[in-house]
Amino acid sequence: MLWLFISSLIFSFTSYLLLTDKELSLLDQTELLWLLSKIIIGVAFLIVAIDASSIITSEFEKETAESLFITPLKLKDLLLGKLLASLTLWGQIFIVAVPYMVVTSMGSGLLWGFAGYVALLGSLGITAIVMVIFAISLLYRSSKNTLTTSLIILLAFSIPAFFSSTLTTNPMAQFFAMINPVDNIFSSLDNVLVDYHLSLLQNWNYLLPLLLFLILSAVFMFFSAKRFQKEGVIKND
Amino acid sequence: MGSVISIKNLTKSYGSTKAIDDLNMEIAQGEFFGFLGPNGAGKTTTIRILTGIIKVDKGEALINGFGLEEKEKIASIIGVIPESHGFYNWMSAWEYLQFFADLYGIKRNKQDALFKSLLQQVDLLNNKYSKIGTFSRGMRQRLGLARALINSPKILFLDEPTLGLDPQGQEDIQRLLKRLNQDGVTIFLSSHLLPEVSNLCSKIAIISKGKLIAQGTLDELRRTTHAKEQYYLKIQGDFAPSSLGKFPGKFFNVSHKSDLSELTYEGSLEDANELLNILKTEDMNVLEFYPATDSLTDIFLKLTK
Repeated sequence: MLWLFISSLIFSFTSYLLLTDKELSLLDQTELLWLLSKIIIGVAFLIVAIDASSIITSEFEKETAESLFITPLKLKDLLLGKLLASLTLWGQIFIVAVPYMVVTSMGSGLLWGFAGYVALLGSLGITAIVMVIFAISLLYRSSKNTLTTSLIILLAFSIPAFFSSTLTTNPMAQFFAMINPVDNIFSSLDNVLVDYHLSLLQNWNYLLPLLLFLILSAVFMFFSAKRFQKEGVIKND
Repeated sequence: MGSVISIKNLTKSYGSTKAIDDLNMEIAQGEFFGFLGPNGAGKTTTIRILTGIIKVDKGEALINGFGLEEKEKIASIIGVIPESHGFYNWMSAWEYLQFFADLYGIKRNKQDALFKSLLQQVDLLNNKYSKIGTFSRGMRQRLGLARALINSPKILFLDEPTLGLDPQGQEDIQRLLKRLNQDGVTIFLSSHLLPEVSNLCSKIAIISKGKLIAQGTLDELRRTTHAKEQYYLKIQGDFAPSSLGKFPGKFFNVSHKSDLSELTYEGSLEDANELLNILKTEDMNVLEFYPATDSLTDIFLKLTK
């Protein structure tokens, strides 16, 4: 609930600035929508990552894991349940963001594209990042370590995406931008909202790396789960 | 009766430390089995291996005929109170049981009656809607027991179930465990409370440094620690064993208080009778004479020293 309140505060503040501030309101509406979409996705990534960092590890830290695993519960069911919980949080943040999307996109005819692509790209990216966080959780079994590592990963993905224009000349940066899921999400939103390329086919070059990242995240989680099962629920006695 | 738990050459190491070293045990169906050992002896590790929480390095175990790799099958027939089990403090007792009943796949239409019966057994029915965060340690332990019984287990693994409880709390849990055992549930109890084990268990195993050092009934364990029988004597007057000359057996714990002599004699029953006859002929008044039996604590200390 607190996360949703924080999200609505950030979205309100951003939308208010975008619509009333003299400098910002001079932006083209499509640019404004792109900026808001980046804020929505960025806030959602951050909140879901913080929440996901403790959703599994707290079972170890609060010593409830042993009681869970003496039932017929399988690890894959636990991971699936926790993934659904994290995606539910993303869903709730998205619902909170809907009124802001409606207000800011009024008259542009972009509402469905805006909301649809934020939902699609956000869902793919957040599912992938949550799987990475779950994999780290199973390795560390400590929320502090998991949170720190997750935030570092998130920062590593986000910072170049926010400053992409200054890095485009460097081939290394170009390669990183190509494989960076956050960069691909923002570029796809740019493609949809600024360049009006609304069909999935026109965005495949951004969606493909995102799907690849999703698959890699699932593979990472799979191997982490295998290792967890090999080590047992309790690492050391 | 056949074995419901069969452990063969079980070995588990943490780095270079052997937590369990070639452990072999058989536990019969319906037995109340006490599992003892000093701190770090490997009791919790053994329970965690048998309940599928940690992997074994070597050896095997069968739980009701299922191998350790058949984790889900084992989980469906066992109930466990782990050494350290946290609770979801924001849940009520009822919600907590519902959560675990769902994990065991118990149908919703059967849950209400089951929870009422379980909470009644552990005397928490009046607190069914209270948050677990408000529960005392004893109440949490009883709720843990209700959770362990949710799938009507054939075997109950209990790791220090009465630890930290007041005498009344211990008594309540012990009474409930006795009743469960009478109903046919095999109980595997690890505890440091030796009078509790001595009072409840029909068979006891003692491990030290991961190795099984003794197992059997309390009487069998007594025989393990005694090569010969021991007898306690209280005699009026000043009696010195040296006055008997060369008498078979051994005298120890000899003490003299005012006009009384107390001592322990170790020897055969025939020799003990002979000793009584000698004392009679010497006009010594024997006030007390009975076999000196070691308590489980004495046995435990002797075996794990």
